Order: sequence, then C-alpha cells, then structure tokens
Amino acid sequence: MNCEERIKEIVCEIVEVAKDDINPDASFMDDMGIDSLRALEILAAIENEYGITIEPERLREMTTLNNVIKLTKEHLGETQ
Amino acid sequence: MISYNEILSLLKQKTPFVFVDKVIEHEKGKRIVSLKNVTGSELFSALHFPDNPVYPGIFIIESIAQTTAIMCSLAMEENENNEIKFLALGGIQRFNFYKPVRPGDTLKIEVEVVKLLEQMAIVKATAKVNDTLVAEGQMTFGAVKDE
Repeated sequence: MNCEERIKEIVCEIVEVAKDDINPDASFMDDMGIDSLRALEILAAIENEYGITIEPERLREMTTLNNVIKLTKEHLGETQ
Repeated sequence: MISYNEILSLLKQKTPFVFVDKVIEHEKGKRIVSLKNVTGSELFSALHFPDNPVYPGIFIIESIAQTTAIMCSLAMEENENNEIKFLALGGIQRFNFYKPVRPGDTLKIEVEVVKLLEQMAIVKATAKVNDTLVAEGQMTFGAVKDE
C-alpha cells in the first residue's frame, strides 16, 4: 500500500467515512463536521504510523485529506 | 506524590465528585499514575447494584479524566498567560472494560500522553486492580475557558 492510500485509510478510519466516499479536497471542518480534537487524532495517528513529528502549529494546515497527505510527504522527505 | 488536599486544589470538581485519591507518579506533561480507593460507603455501592455492588465504568472514565486534568494542570501551571481554566473530555476513541471493580479494590490509573498541545491532548490510559487490567482506552481532551 502506498503512502497516499495508507494516509487515506488512517483518516477515513478516524473520521468514520468509507474510503470510497471521501472527497480528498473536502474541508474537514466545513464539509465533514470534524473538529480540532479529531484533527489532532489524525495528526497523532500519522506521527505514530510514520515515526515523524509534526509541529503542533501545523495542525491548522490539516484541513483536507489532500493537505494531510501533502504535509505528511513533506515530513517524510525531511526525515528520509 | 500529590496528596488528596493538593488534588482538590487542582481540580474543578469537588467532593464527593472527586475520583482521584492520590497521585503516586508524575512526569511533567508525559505520564501520571494515580490511585482511587473504591469503598462500600460510596453511594453507588447500595444502588449499582443492590446486593451486588459494582463500581460504575463511567466512574473509571471520570477517574482517568480527572487524573489527566491534574497532569495537564501541572504541565500548564508555569504559563503565566494561561487563560485555560478547565480541561473537558472531548471524545473517547476506544475504551474497553475487562473486569468488574468492587468495594475494597484500589484502582491504579496510568495515563500516558500520546500528544499534548497547549489546548488539546490525546492520552492512552489503563486502570488496574492488583496489577490486573480492568479497563483501558484512548481519549481526547480540550481545554476551555471557565465561563
């Protein structure tokens, strides 16, 4: 499973949306009703999965699935 | 070690709704271990259930939440600009109960931080009686102003 698919799987599990139903550009907060605590869960799960540390201030960038993928890839690039 | 009187000064809850008796270990912002002595003189023992007292699971969750509140309170106390007054339980991602807890048991609550930010926290927690796991789970907390 590639990185994007795995992140999608993690996010979908936390937000309780089927993988086929999630719009990668849908706003977590405005379109999906996901609050900041749930976003923090996503951040922690991504950190745990990839052994990376995402700066707390970047939590606000995690607004869509595509943004989560972008942020994760950025950190994987820094750590590899 | 943090005594019961100190705990009362750190928590918003007041007796009899205080579900932590003592803190026995504490690593600032990382981990905390507390004890809660379950007794037959508590209200639940006559009602939940008559002739078969079982400590309500929701009280175990409350013990974990209060233990987490103590840890976060200690982690944040040096922040002079801190306007946060109250740590609210925001969600329970996963929680399982394994064995009943009864009067005479001492609950050992261990809370470990998964992620702690200024206004949010995710923790993993276990509750044990005599080193036997009775409950465990993961929860999120959000800090809110006391209005």
